[in-house]
Amino acid sequence: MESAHSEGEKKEQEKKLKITVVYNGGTLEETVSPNASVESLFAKAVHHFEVQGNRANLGLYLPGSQTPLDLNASFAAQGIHTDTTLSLNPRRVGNG
Amino acid sequence: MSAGRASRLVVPANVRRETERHFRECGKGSRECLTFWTSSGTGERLRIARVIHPPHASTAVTTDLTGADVCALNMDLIAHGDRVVVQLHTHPGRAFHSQRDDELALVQTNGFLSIVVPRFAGAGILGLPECYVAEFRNGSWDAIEGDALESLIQWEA
Repeated sequence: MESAHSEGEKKEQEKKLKITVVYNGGTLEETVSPNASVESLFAKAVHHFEVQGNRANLGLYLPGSQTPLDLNASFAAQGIHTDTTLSLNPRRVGNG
Repeated sequence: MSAGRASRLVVPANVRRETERHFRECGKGSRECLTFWTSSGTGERLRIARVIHPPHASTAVTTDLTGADVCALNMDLIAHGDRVVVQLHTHPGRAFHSQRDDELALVQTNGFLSIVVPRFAGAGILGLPECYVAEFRNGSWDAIEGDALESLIQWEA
């Protein structure tokens, strides 16, 4: 029974995604459920990198993508696989 | 005012010259321009490693960088093992921090510096002539002035 339980846990763990988030030269490695919303990782990254100020202007980007991930959708729904690196960065940088 | 809180910067001559060249060649005396200084150091004395001139849109009074471009910049920083510690941009007239400068800065973590260079950097940046310098601290930008500004940067010959 115990080994069946461990086997289940192992399978569950194998389903998890290893995601690296980068922000201004720093990295955060996290393991997430494919069905979790991206918002949870976003919030964790903002806290980890101690980003303050204009949070509404921040997004999580896949390299090469023109638009940030939908924070309300899951990793699986947006085709995010394990060992993916995401960038936490402003949606727009402006001066004037 | 944030005297004594910002890290002191050591700026090599090649970084200064390259920054001025970008302002001159990209801005052409009629458009704003944006550059970043990076460092791989920590502590109270940071040596600037390189200047980055990102692809950006500009007018006489604005610069804009897309999220995709910033994403590419973040990946470049990881590859180089450094981070952006200062953003610099030019103004057509006097230097100050606008609302856009406050709200749309590249980095919003404690200690990040923003330097605004007046008159399209026509006078260069050595000694920060009439420049406005601000430090991000606890969610807002504090001007660095007086003695704190004087001692902020060590310019290498």
